[in-house]
Amino acid sequence: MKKYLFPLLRIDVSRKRGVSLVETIIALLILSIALIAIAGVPIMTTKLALSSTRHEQATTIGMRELNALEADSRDIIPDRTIATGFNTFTARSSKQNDTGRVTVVWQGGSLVLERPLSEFSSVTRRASRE
Amino acid sequence: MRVRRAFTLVELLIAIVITGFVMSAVITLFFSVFKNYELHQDISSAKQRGHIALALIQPFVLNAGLGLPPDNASDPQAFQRAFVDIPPLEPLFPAQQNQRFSSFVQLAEIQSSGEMTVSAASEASALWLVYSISSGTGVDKGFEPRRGVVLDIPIRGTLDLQHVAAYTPDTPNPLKSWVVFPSATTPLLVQNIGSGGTVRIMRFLSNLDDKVLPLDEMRFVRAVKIFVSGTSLIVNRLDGSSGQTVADGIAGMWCRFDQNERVLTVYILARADTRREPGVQGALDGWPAAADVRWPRDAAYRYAVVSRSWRIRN
Repeated sequence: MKKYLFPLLRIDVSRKRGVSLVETIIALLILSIALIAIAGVPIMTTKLALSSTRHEQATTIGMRELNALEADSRDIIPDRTIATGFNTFTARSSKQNDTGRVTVVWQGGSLVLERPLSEFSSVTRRASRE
Repeated sequence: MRVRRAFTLVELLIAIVITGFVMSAVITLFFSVFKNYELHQDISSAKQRGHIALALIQPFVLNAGLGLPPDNASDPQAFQRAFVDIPPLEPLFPAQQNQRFSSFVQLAEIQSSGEMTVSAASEASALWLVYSISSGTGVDKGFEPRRGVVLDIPIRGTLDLQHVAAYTPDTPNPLKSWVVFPSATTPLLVQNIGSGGTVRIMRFLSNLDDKVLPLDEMRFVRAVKIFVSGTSLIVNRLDGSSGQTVADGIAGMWCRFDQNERVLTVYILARADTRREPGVQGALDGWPAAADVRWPRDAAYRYAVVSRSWRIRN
């Protein structure tokens, strides 16, 4: 009659060998390599959140410049630099072929916003009451 | 007797030490992952709150100035003259000079006493707007209001008499007696509303000369004061009621209005949902430098800044 450590699993105690130290160390090494990979996750998400915040700020700035462009009667509009605390954005606006275009550039990315815009868009309201 | 092999004490100790190192790394890692999760949850909930606040402001901004006189450089008094002469309009032009609207977009500053005073600067902490809302009624034919001339105009459509009332000197809310037509830029004082079904004769009095085009819609004039008090975004409709809290957890508002471009930018400083340990918020990104000192905040929350720009087309 054989003795079993766990009768259900039928593991033979007399045949079972232990795990050697070397095997343990190798297992731990593999585990730590996996952990190093996981450690990158919070760093990646923070980077991603930062870049999405920058994108959001750039979009807000671009929308604002596109609105301002509508009122601008100049042919050539000088670049505008906007600082929002951590980041600096440069907005380039142009009005050509009935299209208003704003390019927002920041360190690590850029964004282009366009909308149909007549060259007469700056004359949106009668200058004086008739 | 069979020899049984096992770990020696030294082997066990080494294994325990190594496991200890690895487990401390694992726990630190998980701790930082959870902290990171908390950070992003806070940022997204704060931003969401800010966007809700902006969405609540947006309808007023989009209708601001519609049908109202422009405040251009050639005629800076046009807005006040359009309302002021006959009769005096208390909600927009009270006796105190520093409480008067000079345009349909009026920036105001909240004083340390809590009182708001108008600001001539291009940026300030409170936003006052005069806007117009749809009435569902309009005119078939065009007409030409003249200064001081009374006109009887047929208005087609079902008029909701909750929103408009003929002017009397003791009316509780004189704003309810003003209407505009978007094709013109002159508000008209309603002096009488005829009885009737889908066509009513309305008696208008104008302060300025103008021209209303055929098939134009009649709109009701309304005004609001939007500001942040404590941690609430408050909208005060100038109809005799007091200010109402429309959003909570808003720590600050900052408005910028460019007179030439006519672009209004509103910054909202919104709070996250969950209280953390004090000092959890570091430097703020995107909050205008001029507005920095103005908000007493609960330092145990995280905050986010959201902003939006609208061009005011009247």
